[in-house]
Amino acid sequence: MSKETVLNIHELEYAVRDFKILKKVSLEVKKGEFVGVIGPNGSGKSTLLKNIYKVAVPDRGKIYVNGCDLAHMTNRQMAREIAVVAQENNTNFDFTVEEVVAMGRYPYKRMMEPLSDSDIAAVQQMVRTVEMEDFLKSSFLNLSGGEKQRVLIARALVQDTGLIILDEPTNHLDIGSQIRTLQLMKNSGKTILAALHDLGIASKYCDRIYVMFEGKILCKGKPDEIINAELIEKLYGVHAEVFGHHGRTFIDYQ
Amino acid sequence: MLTNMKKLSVYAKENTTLCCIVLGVILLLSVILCIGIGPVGISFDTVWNVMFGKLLGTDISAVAENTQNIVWHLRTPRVLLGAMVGAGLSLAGVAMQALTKNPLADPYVLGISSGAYFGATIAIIFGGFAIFGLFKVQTGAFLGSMLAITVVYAFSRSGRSVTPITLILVGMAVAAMFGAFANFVVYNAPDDTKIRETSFWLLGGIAGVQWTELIPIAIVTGPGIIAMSCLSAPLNAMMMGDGAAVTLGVNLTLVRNILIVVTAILTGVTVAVAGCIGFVGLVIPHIVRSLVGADHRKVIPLSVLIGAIFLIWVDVGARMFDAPKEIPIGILTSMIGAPLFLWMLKARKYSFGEKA
Repeated sequence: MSKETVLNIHELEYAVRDFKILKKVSLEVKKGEFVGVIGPNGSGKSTLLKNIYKVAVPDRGKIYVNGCDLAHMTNRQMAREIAVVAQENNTNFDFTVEEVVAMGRYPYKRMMEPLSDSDIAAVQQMVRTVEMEDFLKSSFLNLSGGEKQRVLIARALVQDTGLIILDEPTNHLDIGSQIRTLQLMKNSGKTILAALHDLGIASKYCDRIYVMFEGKILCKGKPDEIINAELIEKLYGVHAEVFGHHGRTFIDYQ
Repeated sequence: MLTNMKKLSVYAKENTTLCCIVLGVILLLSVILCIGIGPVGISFDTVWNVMFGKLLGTDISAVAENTQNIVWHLRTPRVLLGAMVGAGLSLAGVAMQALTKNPLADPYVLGISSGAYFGATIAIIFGGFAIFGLFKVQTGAFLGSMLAITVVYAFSRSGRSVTPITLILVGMAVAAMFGAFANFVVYNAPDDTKIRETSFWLLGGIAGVQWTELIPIAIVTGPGIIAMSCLSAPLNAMMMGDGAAVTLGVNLTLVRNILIVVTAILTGVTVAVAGCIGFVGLVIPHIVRSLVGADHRKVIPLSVLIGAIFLIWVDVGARMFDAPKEIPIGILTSMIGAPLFLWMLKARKYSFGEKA
């Protein structure tokens, strides 16, 4: 093994009542990689990620984070290893951008322990990284979708974890915001596991891709090796022509 | 006026600690002032001297025995109770609104007040819990509230966890059920004076409270405030959504269970001694949020202090408005609290965070 494995999932199974959503899913993410999970709606990719960040509990199978069994980790321990950027713009409560980003330090704080100077410095630095420094004292609720997502990225960066999970973070964003969001993640140099919808975007940013279909991993590999007309037809029932050019993948939907 | 309010709000947000100290001083002064105000007015320094004398044993023989009694046995326990009830209800309101993420939530949303009403009616009308003597109504009310919350908890549990929306729905149903039980008892009351007594209890009141009656609420208020303060950070994370809270390291089940227990005990004890005082637990947390935002590290201490100050002054109204007759405090909290709330909705465009 050349690089250490950050996330290792072994034969994960998850069902809601009798309906199996995940069927023996195995997946591996190595340090520094940007790994994408693609697949149609209902293929189980978001459920897979929720199993990794403990919002869902697997029925069978193992998840190892930096070699530790996730099932034996508390939420707090997990929050020091994995940060999550999901779609969560549904808060009704009036927090400032600064307060939202500072929540990323909670996993390191004892009860009632105030933020230290280094915490505050980290918050300010990450807010600058996502270019939201002019909004530090603004209300999170009044931001646009793209701005909110950048704030949540800053929170994930402040959390200072080895792995960041992006759970369909760009679905409702315009193309400019999608690209800014993913570029920020790419630039952060963090290990990333992301569920994505747009194949063009996925092939642009991902080092490797796992394709999920009907609760299973259909195939995996480098984007230009696995994204082809046959796969798109099978996943989405859509005819498409796929061109490769300088290692990039271009898709023309028919 | 509006721009001044805005300035005050920005200031309160930035300097919460200083605000708390100022409010703490205001609370202390209010306590002493309010002890002096009543059908028999007593000057500030007399109250001060009597308090010192009683607490530290200094010589207060210069003050008439009668005045001493009014200050120490009539007004002091009452004002202290008012402060604790206001603080407790505001705190429980913050907890319930956070737990359910629902702006309409108040301390009574889990059926606690209906359970207490049922217990109190049994005590008042049928003379139940008679072995507790003078405290039979309080005991009945407390046991009733605990019964209601137990039923709510049992029915809203699924697996290890309790979801907020089920909690609200179950709470509503249980409240309706116990309310109906209580009304049935009232309907079958053998004599009308008991019915009058019941409705007075329901409206809430802190008049004529004895020192000994303060013991339970004094025991639970402090730990309640501390427990909630310890949960400030998890509560903030929960406001961002349950998923977000988990990924920020919050043990959701544990925090929710603590919130339910703290609220139930705090509210149960409060209702037992003071009846169903409405609107405080709903409106004070909203007022505080509209001033300083949603951060619980600010919302909790400020709600406690403002709730306490609000209630002791409303109680002054209750004894002075139609002196020497008393008005039930529950009527006044809504009479004063509701216009305040309406003004806030209109002038500050407050809508629990949602964009108008």
